Amino acid sequence: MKKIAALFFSKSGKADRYVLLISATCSYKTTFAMFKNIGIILILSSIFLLSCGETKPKEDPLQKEREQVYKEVMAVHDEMMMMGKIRGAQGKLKKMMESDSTNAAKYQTAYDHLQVADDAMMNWMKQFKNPPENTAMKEAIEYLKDQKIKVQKMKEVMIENLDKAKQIAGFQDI
Amino acid sequence: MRNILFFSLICLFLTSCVERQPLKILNRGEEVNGKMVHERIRDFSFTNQDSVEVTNKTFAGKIYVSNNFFTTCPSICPTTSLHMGRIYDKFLEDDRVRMISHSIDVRTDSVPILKRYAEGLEIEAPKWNLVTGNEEEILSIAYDYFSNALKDKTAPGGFDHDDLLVLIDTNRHIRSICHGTDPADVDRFMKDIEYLLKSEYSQKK
Repeated sequence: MKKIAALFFSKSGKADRYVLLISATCSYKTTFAMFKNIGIILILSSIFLLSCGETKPKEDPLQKEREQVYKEVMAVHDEMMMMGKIRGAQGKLKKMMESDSTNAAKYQTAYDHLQVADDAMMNWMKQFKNPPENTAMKEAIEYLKDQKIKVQKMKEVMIENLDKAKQIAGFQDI
Repeated sequence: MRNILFFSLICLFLTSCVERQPLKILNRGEEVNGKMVHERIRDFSFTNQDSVEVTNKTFAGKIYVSNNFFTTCPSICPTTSLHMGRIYDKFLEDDRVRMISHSIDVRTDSVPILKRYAEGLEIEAPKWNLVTGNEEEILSIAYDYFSNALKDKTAPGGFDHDDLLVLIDTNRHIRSICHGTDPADVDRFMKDIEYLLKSEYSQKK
């Protein structure tokens, strides 16, 4: 078990010191057996060391900015993505129109507002094309910044129309 | 030293012998006459990328993986499709495993658009069906798959943003779920598929 401990500690690059430390606390026999295996320990610890010593790629500030803007764009999209809910509510309104013809015009208006909200999301998604990896950083950032403005406009249109639809149809939530 | 080695070998043996827990049925269940009866995935009929009708019969005697997507989705769908692709590749030769991805945007995703998407993923039906159909039916079957999977979540209704993959057994019961954007979770899910294959088909032989 101590051998395993030594291997474990070797992760911090102090294998030999620990082996000696453990050896010092063990009996002569165990120490002898340990040195027989020291070759294996050395090989294993060097594998550990190599795997730990990988140099991290230098962080490119432009790459970071690109990822950041992309995240911001997607956060707005994720927040507003509710296609299932909107279309479910539209289905409900269709049924209400059929069963309650006196209020059909009202429900149709609510339906239309939902459609404007749905179209806003669909149109944004259809035009959005995340720049491929090999696009020049500055160009990609510029594109994403422009998309951020577009997605925020989309959010405004959606909120306005969802609120109107809820109000007209008397829905608590969409 | 020899004793230590012996001891660790026994430890190894013991841990490798621990049996896996069987996959539970995740659908809601009710006790009827002392027996647990679980809800099942409802009957459905959709159309895949080759204009072929896909129903429960397509998956009769098979286990299958189900998820939702839509072709214009810019965020989670591409990643989820990538990991669905890993499942497709892994079980390509095993006809007992099939896959279905429901487009929740039936207004945009017509059969030709699904076909193009399938070609982009380099996948084929009947192994992996990208389906469209009646909007209400698609939205309500999504509820079947995900209300069970999502019953712990407090968020009401929304499945637009769920990256969930659901594993269905030969009795239309949900047996495992995972997040299709989390590679480690998909790895665990693929082990569940292998495990379900063993348990489903060993009984029937």
